[in-house]
Amino acid sequence: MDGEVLTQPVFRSLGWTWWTKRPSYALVFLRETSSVFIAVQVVLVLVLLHKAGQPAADYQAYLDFLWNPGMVVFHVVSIAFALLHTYTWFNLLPQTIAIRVMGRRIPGLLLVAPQFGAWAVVTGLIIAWVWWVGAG
Amino acid sequence: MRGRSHEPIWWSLFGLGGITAALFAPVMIFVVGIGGAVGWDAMTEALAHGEDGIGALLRHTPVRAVLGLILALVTVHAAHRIRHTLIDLHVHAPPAVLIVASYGAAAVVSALIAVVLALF
Repeated sequence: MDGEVLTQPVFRSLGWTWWTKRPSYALVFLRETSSVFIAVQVVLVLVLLHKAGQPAADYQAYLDFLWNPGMVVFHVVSIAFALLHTYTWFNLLPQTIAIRVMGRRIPGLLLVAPQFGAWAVVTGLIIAWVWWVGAG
Repeated sequence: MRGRSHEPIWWSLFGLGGITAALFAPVMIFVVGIGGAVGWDAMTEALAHGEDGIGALLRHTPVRAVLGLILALVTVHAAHRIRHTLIDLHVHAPPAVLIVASYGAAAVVSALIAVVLALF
């Protein structure tokens, strides 16, 4: 099961500073925090899509905001959190399902590796598509 | 005793949003926020205003539909996780308030995404 379902009772007994108690708890906290950065990024994309339908000057002003150095730092931090989410989410699968072949449980790596493969393909295809549109 | 929990409904949407975010969030952040900003010309051109730029990316209805679905699922995922994080941080609010605030915000954002993409 997912971490928060299992770990909640533990965190309840430790008080609200549970995430300072152990490095593994801190990692859980960082993983949960990824959702805040991802939510903000979704809203930034929503505004971008809205501005795309507005006059060019309005849209360009938003791009200038989105691409100013301070915001780029924020995007880099966001992408680090997003990658932490990707890494931890893919690694959850062996803990949530157990596939047995000829009576033996198949290794977790066989469940995790294809997900990273799919991630690489999806990421590569989207970047290639955007690049192709921009270069064309 | 509480009544039957609605948690499984939220959890299955959360799970679907979790895999969606795992697959798409990093590349989305890169394409929108980083590629063009750091001077990758083709990325800058692709995000430029008008029919040759972002208009070309969003021209086809299936693209907008899939993009909307991805964004909505990621939104629900983030809302669910933020709600659980607030509970884990011992934020003292009635459960109903947290549920309405988190999933309500997700519903509003999802609706705005649908409207913006439909009107594009």
